[in-house]
Amino acid sequence: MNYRDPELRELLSAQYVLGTLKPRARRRFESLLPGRADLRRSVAGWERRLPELLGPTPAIEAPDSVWPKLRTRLFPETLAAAPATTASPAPGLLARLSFWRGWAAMASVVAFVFALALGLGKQTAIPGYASVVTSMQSHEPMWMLSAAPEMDRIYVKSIQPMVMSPDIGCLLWIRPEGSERMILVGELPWRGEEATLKIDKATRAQLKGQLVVTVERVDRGMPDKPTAAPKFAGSWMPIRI
Amino acid sequence: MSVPEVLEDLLARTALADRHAFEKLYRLSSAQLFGIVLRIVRDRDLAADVLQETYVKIWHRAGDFRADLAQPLTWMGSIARHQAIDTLRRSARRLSTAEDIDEHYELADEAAESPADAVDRGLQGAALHRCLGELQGLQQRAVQLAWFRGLTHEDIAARLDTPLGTVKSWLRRGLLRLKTCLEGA
Repeated sequence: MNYRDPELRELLSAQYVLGTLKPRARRRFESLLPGRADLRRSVAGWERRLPELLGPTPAIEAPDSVWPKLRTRLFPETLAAAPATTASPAPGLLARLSFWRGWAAMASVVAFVFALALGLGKQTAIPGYASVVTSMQSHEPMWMLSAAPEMDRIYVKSIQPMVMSPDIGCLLWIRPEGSERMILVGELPWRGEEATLKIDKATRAQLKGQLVVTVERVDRGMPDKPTAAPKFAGSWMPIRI
Repeated sequence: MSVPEVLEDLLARTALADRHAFEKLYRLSSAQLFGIVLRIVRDRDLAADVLQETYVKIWHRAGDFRADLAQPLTWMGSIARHQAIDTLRRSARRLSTAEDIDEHYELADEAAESPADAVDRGLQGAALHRCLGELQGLQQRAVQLAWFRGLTHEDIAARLDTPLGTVKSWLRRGLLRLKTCLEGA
């Protein structure tokens, strides 16, 4: 099917939102969405238009039983943790996948830190903090970050080059500990190169929070707050050598 | 912060696996989504199962939400609709449901609308209403049956006692006409 025909694109998007596509056609259409901004825009347009045209749906309180079932299904460990005497023992440290992921990430960071120190010689202080920012979906490492103890600048290396349109950027945000607010740190390189982000004095004290990266339009200037959900995340690890 | 902004923030935090944010998101949005789901599957127990599946998807896909493309409730509502439609098509119950609840919902829609919403809708509603009015009676009904009931082309054809090809053609031409009309509105 020629998805580049504008009329067909509109029709498929409308029928996708309306729910009249056959299962196979819907799956094929959904598989195209991640790579086709024009289709996503068209779908978003119909998702907005159809409820406006056909009227709102009244809110109806969901049965009380739904949330407990959902919690049990998504977070079973929270229920198992309560009666500690009957809970099955947690897997050993070396058996946990997260341990090996963390170990691999940490080893990469330490190697990066030494490479940076060797490469730049005495001009570079051994950093006080490092982080690997990974994809929240695939957990693939995307950037390595390091910062001096005073957090006046952050060295960044893009380790997984991305293919994006020039008007899109990867923005690094910090959510300070115990805060809901996101503070923009700067735009990250995404073609495999390195960069240094200078941090102003006011922001330095708040840098020891969670790191998240959003992918959003930057051609109209930097936003005050994220306009897209984070795709990548990381945490600072203190480095002492 | 407005409700959409609050939901956006909660979705962003859910994408970071923040369980408290996810629970708040559920508390704030589940009634809207349950309304959408119940309207399609028309069975409270089945709707509760669909709602659970919907939020499992929201938990896993929160990172895909794009605030520049959709409102949070529109995005979540779309997941709920597709989940409800899939469930409905797998279930034979729809065939045994004789009760027509359109009138109940139409009354509920009017009752749920605040005066401010009514003013807003009044301003833009005239253009939208005109566009919907451009569709012929059965063509309009076919769009409504697909939207509110999640019916397939075949279901709509059976329901309206009309050949399948005619229903497909109504929907195709109806949707394109709506698009043209809305662009000119």
